[in-house]
Amino acid sequence: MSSWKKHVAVQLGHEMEEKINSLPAEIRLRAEDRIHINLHRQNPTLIARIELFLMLIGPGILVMVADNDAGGVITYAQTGSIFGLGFFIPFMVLMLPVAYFVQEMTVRLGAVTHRGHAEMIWKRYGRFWGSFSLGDLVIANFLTFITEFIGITVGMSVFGIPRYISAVIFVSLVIVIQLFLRYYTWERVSLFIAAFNLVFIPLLFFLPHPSVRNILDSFATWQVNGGVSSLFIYVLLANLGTTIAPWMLFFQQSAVVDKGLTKKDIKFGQRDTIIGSTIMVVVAIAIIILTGTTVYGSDPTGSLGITGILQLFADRVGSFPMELFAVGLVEAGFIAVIAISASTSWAISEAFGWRRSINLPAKEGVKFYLPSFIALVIAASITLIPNAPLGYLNLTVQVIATIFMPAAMLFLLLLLNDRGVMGDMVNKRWQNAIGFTIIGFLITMNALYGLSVAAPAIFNHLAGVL
Amino acid sequence: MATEGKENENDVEKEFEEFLKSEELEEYDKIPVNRVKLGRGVKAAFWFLRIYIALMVVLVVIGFSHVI
Repeated sequence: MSSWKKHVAVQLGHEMEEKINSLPAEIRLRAEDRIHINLHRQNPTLIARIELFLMLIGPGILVMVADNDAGGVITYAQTGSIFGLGFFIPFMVLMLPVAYFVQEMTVRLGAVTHRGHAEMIWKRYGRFWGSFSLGDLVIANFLTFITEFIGITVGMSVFGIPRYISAVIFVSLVIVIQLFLRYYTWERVSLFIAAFNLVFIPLLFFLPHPSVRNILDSFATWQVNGGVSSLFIYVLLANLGTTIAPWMLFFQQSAVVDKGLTKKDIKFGQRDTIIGSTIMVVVAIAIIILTGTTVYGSDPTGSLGITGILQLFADRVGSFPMELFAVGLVEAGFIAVIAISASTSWAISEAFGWRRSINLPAKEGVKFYLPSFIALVIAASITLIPNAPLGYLNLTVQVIATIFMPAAMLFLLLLLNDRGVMGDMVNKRWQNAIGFTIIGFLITMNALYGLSVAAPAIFNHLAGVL
Repeated sequence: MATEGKENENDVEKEFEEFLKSEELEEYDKIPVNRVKLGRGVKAAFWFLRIYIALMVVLVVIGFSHVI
């Protein structure tokens, strides 16, 4: 018995412990975590309060760091290499409050209803929209898995590890983490892996001539280097898609539920989400600066894949920084596969009413774990196919995420305005105003993308004018 | 002695129930969530969503086919 469990047994008595042991596995483990939190809440010392904060944070940081996934890192790297230090740096800063407002709603929804996003849509809006949201999520998650394995295998190849070996290693690691770690440990291990996402920040010190002035100027001018072209719209949409994506809503809400957060914990969930959003944006900007300073000018059409970008990066700053970049890329893919795999498992099980929790032991949670593992294996195998258009596929995944995001956001806002579900925790007016502005912005951007596909000549003309 | 044992058992039972309640553990899977009746505005929004998604999917397929 672990020391804290002994402590709990002494505090609550052995009869109580027996009662808790009689609960189903997933609730029992959640109850044990909650006892721990309960005891810390009653302890007024500063250390206990800090420990309580550290215990209650997790889903927000995890979702945001996992959103800086391999696909995201590749997108930011391509963004910097195509457009340099202009428009996209202030744009990413603008994405911080957007990401926060969207994800904060999932914290409240999860803590109040104790139900995941998929289940809420299914039960509240019926089978059609339930299956649409689930289908959209599962397809997008599957495609995202592919981009994660692109990142992992490319990153590992920098260290001379063949692609198929990297794929086998990381599929196995994810399966072990999901199957054998229970929620609290799973979350802590995932946060430890997520910490490596910060590797991109110290990399900035390796840049030979970082132009702080150019970075600051970008906030004043929002200059689009190369002008507004269909490529610009496409990359803009991809950046939007890698900052807010449907899987993030499903993931954080289900994680809040699985962690057992209650209405009392909402403020911790909000702080958790602010910390996560800040980390996400700082890392994204660091990556744009890294390639915008070193590779920009060599890839005006976006034809360079991540391998080409890494090669040029190594030529300009040396092989050690490039290897650190590769470590970041591998980590980004790894943490995202863990998070997206959990999100897939939660959503499918919520929709079909299966038992669902990372707390479920492997034997009792076959239905819960299996679908995402199958998707994982197939996605990893696809990345091993020679000459697959992986670079373009990566941008397309982000674009697809942006296209489906207004639908996901609409359900989120409907649920957050549903008094029958949220009681007095419904959205305030200003929160709705922000939410609907974000939906409007997403739809406008998607319409521009549609226009760039249907009539690219318009944007080619704009590129010459702006 | 037997009464004291019974009282102790009741206390544990009560304490356990209170704990489940305070940590909202008993609410898991128990709060009923029913299908909501859609208003006109929401129905219209859902139709807009259907058309929007169909259109965007077609455009993505066109965009992707240009590159492949």
